[in-house]
Amino acid sequence: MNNGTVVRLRDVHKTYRTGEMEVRAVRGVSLEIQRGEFVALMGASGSGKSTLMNILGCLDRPTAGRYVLDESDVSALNRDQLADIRNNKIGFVFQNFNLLPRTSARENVELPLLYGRRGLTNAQLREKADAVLASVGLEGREDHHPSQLSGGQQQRVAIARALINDPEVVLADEPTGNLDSRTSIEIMGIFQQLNKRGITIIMVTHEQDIAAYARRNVMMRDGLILNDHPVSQRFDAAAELEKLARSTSES
Amino acid sequence: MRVGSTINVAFRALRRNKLRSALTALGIIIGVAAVIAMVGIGNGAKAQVEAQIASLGQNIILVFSGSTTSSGIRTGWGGAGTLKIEDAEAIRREVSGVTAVSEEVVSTTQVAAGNQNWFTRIYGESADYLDIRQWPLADGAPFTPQDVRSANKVCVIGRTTATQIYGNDDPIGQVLRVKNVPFTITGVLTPKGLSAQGVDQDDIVIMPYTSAMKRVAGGTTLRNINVQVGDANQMDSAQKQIIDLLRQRHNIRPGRDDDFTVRSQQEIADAATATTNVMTGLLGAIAGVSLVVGGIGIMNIMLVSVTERTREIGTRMAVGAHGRDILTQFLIEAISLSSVGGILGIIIGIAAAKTIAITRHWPALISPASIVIAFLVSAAVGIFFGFYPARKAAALDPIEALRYE
Repeated sequence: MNNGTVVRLRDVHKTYRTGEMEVRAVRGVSLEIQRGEFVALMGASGSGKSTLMNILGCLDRPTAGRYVLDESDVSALNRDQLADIRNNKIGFVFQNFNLLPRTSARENVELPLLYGRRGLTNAQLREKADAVLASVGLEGREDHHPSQLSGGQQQRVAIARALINDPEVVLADEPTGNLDSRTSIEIMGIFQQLNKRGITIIMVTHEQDIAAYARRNVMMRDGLILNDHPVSQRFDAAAELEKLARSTSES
Repeated sequence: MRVGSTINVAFRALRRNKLRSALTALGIIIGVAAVIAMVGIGNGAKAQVEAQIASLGQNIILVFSGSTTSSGIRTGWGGAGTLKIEDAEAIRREVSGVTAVSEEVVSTTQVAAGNQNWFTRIYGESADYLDIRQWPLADGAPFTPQDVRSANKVCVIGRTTATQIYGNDDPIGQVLRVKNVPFTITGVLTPKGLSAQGVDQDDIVIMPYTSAMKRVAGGTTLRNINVQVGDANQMDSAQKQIIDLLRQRHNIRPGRDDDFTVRSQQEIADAATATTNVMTGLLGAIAGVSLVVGGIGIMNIMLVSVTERTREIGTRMAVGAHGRDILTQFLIEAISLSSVGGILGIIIGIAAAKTIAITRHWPALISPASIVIAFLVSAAVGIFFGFYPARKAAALDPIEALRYE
């Protein structure tokens, strides 16, 4: 992966109109994210971080300002064009996993490929999905349905799904929000490994100790960026897990 | 997105909800089965009516007294006694191509023998009647032209009448009292079964028309005259000659309406076919209603499904599905349900029609056209009732859909 700017936001605004009310969720955000970064987007609820995440994820368009993703301006694309960008360049990881129920892990991971325009055969789909599942440590669970998997395993399936199309950016929206602390650290471990491989990750979280696994923290308040700084005391998931194991064995 | 993978996606979704898919398809199965069975039975009835009318005999012209077409008072066929025995004799004598004529009078009355009695129909006919109707005797002998000339007290009876009066005994040579007049039975007819109108054709006593007029019904006029023509090509000319002859004999001036009605067997067949067509159409329409209900069932389930799967739709959109992909997926789901339902419905419909045919002795004719149409209609029902829910799914906003609980 070459270096360069993957995400470039220029004075981005997002205003919602609900009847008479006008909600200015994002009020002029400029942000650049380089390839290979691991950014935690933080802020209280109502700070505009979710709205900004939707714009970054090409689920929503800014009302004003420019958004350049991987050298192409996506601020004025239509619904279908945005869908193609999401398919090719973005991988989503959600708080509630959003896996299809009663569908095997493999089929869930294959999902983005079904909407791609690559013309893969069923055997190729399967091969690719199994490889990505193995890379997040789910070898042997390809045929399990979400209901047969733990929360952490479900989130790994979701991460595999996000990775299947080799995205420019992985967007994770509160990826540990539904997980216990140990599983949360495991998931952060996966993110750190992916990041080491050069994958760009943007993660929304409101938890300070989760944000500490990222390399850079961007704090939002009232639709603006409050501060933006590299993480000084970065957590390492492997070390934290060891620490956790030691403390449980002591007690 | 490739069509192949959309179909794949739709089938995966249907597989996930097997019971619901089956129940939804059931509505269509019942609808299509009803259409196939009803139309099959209707067509069977039509074929049966046509066979019945063919069994009237070949190249038959029926002349009824009274007219259905006269202005003013309409008496209906056989209503007013305008046909005389002499009219029949004149037809026999003067109309070219005529090979047989039977004067006909009909009455219903109580008949008795021993301690049994029975209410039945008495047909007075000429000796040619059984030939005209192509109705052979099972046993015994027909009455003769001599019997007709002499108004002898002889008759032949149908199978039902024979069974009702004599049970298992042989009726030939026995005496049957008709209005207290003793008639000797000379023969028993072969069974003909029910007519298209459901009348038992074997519940009958046939005797010389002279005897019927003199001894049973009274009166001097005929209900109708059955005329058989030798050659089908002579039907039109014979029909025209009969009309001219009877108008002349009845002194009907030009411009006045006939006081009789002439119908060929073909015209009667056409009228009956038209009636059964209406019946078939009606049955089909009623069954069609159930098909529509089945379609509404699909729409209902698809709407529930869209609501229930809102998050799934959001997820699909997030990973790159176009609105069109979602639309196609839900449409294919609806069409799959309805066409699989259609195929099963066709199979069950055919089975139902055959079962009814066997148990009710009622023929069922399943035409290939009705199968093709039923299948296409069920697919169309899927498209029609699947489109609205599918469009609703496709129009969802991905952000809202992902957040939906």
